[in-house]
Amino acid sequence: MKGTITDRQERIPGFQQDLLNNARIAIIGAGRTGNEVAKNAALTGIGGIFSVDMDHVSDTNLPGTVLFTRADVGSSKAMLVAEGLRKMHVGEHPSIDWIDADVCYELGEGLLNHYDIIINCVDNLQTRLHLARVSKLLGKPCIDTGIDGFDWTIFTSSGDTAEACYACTMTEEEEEAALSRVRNSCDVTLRKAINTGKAATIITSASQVGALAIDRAIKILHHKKAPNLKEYDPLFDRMMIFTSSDMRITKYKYSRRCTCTNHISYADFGGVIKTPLSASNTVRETLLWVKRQFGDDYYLSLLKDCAKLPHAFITTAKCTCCGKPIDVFMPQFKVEEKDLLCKECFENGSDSQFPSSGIRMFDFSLEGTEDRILNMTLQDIGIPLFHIVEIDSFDETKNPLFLELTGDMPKLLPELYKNESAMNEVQYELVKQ
Amino acid sequence: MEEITITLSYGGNEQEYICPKNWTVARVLSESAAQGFLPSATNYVVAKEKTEEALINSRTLEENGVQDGEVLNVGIPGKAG
Repeated sequence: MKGTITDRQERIPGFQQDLLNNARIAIIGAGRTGNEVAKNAALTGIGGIFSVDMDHVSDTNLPGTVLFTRADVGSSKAMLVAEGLRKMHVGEHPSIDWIDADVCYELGEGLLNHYDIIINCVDNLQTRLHLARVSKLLGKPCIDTGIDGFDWTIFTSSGDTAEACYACTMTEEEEEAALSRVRNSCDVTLRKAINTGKAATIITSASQVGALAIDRAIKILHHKKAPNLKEYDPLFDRMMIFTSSDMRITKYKYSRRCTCTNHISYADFGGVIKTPLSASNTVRETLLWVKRQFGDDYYLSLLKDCAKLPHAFITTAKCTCCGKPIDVFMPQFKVEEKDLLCKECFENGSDSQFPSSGIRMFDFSLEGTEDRILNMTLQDIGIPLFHIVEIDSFDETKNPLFLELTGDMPKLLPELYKNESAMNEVQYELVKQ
Repeated sequence: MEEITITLSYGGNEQEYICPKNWTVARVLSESAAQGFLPSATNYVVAKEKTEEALINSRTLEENGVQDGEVLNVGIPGKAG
């Protein structure tokens, strides 16, 4: 509307501010590019913004991050992004939420399910590949960004499983090589080291690709409403690489790779069912709720989450020093080297002699799972808050069910939850036995 | 085996190559890196300049429909954030 605070951008032909006011974007990563994307989202008036990162600010972040200052060193990046956005957002009642989390293991798919577009500003291949898979499962467009010195890359994929994802831009061998380094490591410290690099980056490339990411997001929002508007073509399936040396943007148009295993959607199985369940519920409470709702021939499965990353539950293992059987009872991605030593070898400070190994558990049922595990919460067995869990039937003719742990929404997305008047009518209380 | 002439374009520079049609794209890139034209990398992306169609690196030039005289743009996607 003319005369509003966003008057100037509303003068762009075809531009509809309402589409931005009502849109929600999830910004994955709060580094250089994440800062720029978040700033542009707030200044264009995108109504719902979510920020996630697992890191805290260090002084080397400061030259590239518009939302951080010297006083913020040591503080949570995602929290600071949210604080900065609340100050600068041009909208009247934006929903700005954040969490500190490892995106691959601690960010629930159900959370992303409440956003329209995923914008990927991470710094490693494993997380990009993980998000490529999740975006197809959820049917959400994903804008992937990357920087390298003065150059930048952007790849926009639609949520359509018939079209390319980020993994389709790689060969099968390249994808497997990128994932196997973390998949085969039973040591969380090693996995984190694999993902931590000191890349060459500068604010100028982050600014450029951060601007383009919101440009693409705006195009996606308009394209959804009016697919025939050429000016708002999101250019899905195009990777664009800017090379500063010759000031050129080169486009690479991808088709779905026939060997890519990411092209499955929850919609193929009847969609996601919102539930009052939470990751704070025990395995037993969850299975009993499922039994009441759907009958008694279902079990909880971690298999879909293990497709690319180590999400299994480890029950027992052999001490990597003396070979003695030991209890582990932890999610695979949390296991550290010390967890694979028996008490005596750990106290003696003994070194590992054998490769790490463990009994991996994927399925949990009321009849077939021991009480110790049934009494653990979903979070204890590695399921993140606000995740989408898979419930499979012992009757193989039945499709699996995908249940969203919507009971976690008030805790993780308090502002979005508060602003959604429809959601406020539903009571998401912890399910008790 | 029939050979074709292709031009690799990277970072504002171009280099012409004569190579067999049954060479994979990956092999062409590897040879180019060995000769010092391309930087060493594990994740090149390649597209036909005319159509912007991305090539499948594990397939041959012929399988990718690369014609004699074609210019191929080569890029290395940035990964930092």
